[in-house]
Amino acid sequence: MIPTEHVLLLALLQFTLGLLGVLLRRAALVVLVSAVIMLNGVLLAFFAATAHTGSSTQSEGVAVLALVLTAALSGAAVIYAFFRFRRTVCVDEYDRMKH
Amino acid sequence: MGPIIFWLLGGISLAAAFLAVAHRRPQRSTQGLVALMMTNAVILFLLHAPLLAVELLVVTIGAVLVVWMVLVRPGRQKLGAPGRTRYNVTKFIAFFVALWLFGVIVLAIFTTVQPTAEIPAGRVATGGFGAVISVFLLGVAAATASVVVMVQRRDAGRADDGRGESD
Repeated sequence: MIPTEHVLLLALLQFTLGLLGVLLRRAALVVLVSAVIMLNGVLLAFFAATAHTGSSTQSEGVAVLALVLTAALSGAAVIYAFFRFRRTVCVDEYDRMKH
Repeated sequence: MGPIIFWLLGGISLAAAFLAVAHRRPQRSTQGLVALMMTNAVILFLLHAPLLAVELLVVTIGAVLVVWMVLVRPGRQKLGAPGRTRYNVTKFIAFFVALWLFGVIVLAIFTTVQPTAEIPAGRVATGGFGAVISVFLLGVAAATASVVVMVQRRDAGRADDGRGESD
């Protein structure tokens, strides 16, 4: 039996790594990958928290996973659209909403 | 699952996450993400959440197949790179390893389905419905992979025929 704190710590480390990637990297694909890493950490933490209560099924986790998928696909679509428009993958160039 | 195995897998997942975040090439980042999701699936499976684990595996396999079909394969055809149609020992070994892993996962799923007298706090009960769904999703993933491989072989055969006619 793994203590819940260990799972939460692993989830926190994954979330932190993803957050660093989102904040520090400029390539759009890497930013999207980092966001998915953050959501993976959230999924792990969510499962640990629900398992800790002892009254949960896995359906909530499936819902979180569907959220991860939706976010990843939406982000990929936005990146693809911007890439077709600006021909660059650097997120610093994605400033069309400012003008 | 003991804490040592858990942190061994956790270390692998953290290394994959670090690779995904820190590597310069986006391809390596994507490979790191795939490794992270696979490791997370194994961790979830060992934490007695087979439905989540199999769904994460299916998502990973589907993402890899879609990326390969939409991006990699058309790029190779556009570049005129020859497809590898010859069989070798590595493919056969990979096939049997995948078959063995599939059997282990199915066996473990049906082993965890056995009713327990009391579910302790901190664990998640897995019902028979979840096991059936998991096996069904595994079958869908295997069928999808088979169809993709068949399409690739057919296209590679057509490309070889066209190249032979043009020569």
